Amino acid sequence: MKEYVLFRGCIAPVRLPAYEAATIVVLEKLGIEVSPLNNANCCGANYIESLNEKAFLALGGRILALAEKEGKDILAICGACSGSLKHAKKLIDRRKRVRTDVNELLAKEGLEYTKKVKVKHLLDVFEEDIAFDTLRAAITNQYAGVRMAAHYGCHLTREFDDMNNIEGAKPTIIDTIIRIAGGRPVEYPTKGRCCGAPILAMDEKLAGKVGMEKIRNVRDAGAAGIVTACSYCDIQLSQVQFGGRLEKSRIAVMTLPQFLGPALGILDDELGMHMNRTSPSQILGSLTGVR
Amino acid sequence: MVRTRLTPSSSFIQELTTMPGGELIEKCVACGVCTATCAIASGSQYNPRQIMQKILVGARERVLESEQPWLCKTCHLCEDTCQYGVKLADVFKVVRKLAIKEGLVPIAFQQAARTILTDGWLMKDAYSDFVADERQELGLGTRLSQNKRYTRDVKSKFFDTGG
Repeated sequence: MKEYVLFRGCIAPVRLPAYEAATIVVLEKLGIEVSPLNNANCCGANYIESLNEKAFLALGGRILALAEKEGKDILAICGACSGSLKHAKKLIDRRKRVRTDVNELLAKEGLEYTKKVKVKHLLDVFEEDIAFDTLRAAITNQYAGVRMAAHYGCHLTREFDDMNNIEGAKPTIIDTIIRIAGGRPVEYPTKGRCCGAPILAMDEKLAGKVGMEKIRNVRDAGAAGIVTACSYCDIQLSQVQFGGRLEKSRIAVMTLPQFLGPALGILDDELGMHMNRTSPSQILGSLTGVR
Repeated sequence: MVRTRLTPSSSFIQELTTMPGGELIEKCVACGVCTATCAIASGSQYNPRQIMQKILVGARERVLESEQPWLCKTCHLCEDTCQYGVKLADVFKVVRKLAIKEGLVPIAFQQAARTILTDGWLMKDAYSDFVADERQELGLGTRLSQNKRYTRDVKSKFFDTGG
């Protein structure tokens, strides 16, 4: 059985615990064991990364070393965390000097990083560890063709070298999973664009504008909901629908394991479905079979 | 075919090209495809081509004082469409590095960095009893505290000394 340590990050455990819970229960159902990485620290994405590279590598290096100590690869469910940990790993692995510096800091706790550990985002796990046939066979309650829009987080799928992505390839994994679960993935303009979350701290109004553009396009494409795979994206795409003028109908925003879970026969409560800010009831209503 | 370098030369460009990532500015022809693709540029003052142009003409102070390089979300969408292989996020990263050297860091970045390094993570103050109850209900652990001893070491080693 494949095992991972879950690097929870800052945002998911506090703002989106249902994502964390749904990830664990869905992966378990598919034969992958996930345990939390405790006593970790922030990965330093964006903020520390922009200000001081050595400090950024020191933060990432500790997370990598903690996982090595557990003897398991890292699973991250946030695009910022997975992106920054992959980036930190690349920079630390590339140069011995950098590694020595990081390990010097880690020695105080008796930790050491030796390049062994791998960093995966949830989407990588679906791409690499779970065969589509296995997933197909595990579906007990198919969706009856509900139209869903995939939102790929920039920092986990964009075609640049840290993200394990083949050059020029557009991500398809969420669309594929929507289809396997019985849904109908929809195309929409701005599909590959950002949700706006990374600029929230700099310019909230502008971030909202970027997010709403996406929501409008998804609505125009006739989708009942959006499937996300990043804590920041999910919160942002929900949040923007509550600001300013009252929205007549909100587009349901769900994380990938929350969308997939019910089709695997997992109970809504275990997936924290009632904690979602946007109601997923229309989507869940299209599930077939006994529930 | 003999290729001629058409990038205007300025001391600012020379400064940037000595920094890793900064050399990519030399590929830019200021065509503006980056701005056309950018999610942030539509409906805002942010304009990646304009920053690139300012860099190309060597308007060092105006570039470093601008908040615009800090608005790049490093989503890398423009890099997918750029026909000349300019890695704009890298160029802006180098620009931010220079701005930091001159003490020009937006308050939002300073505050977030201080919180992360002091608390070990970003969300200590946001973690309430209400959230702990939600976590319990979901069968998740409720002790989320992160290691702040290490991040404080990192802070004193790399930040407090002005390093």
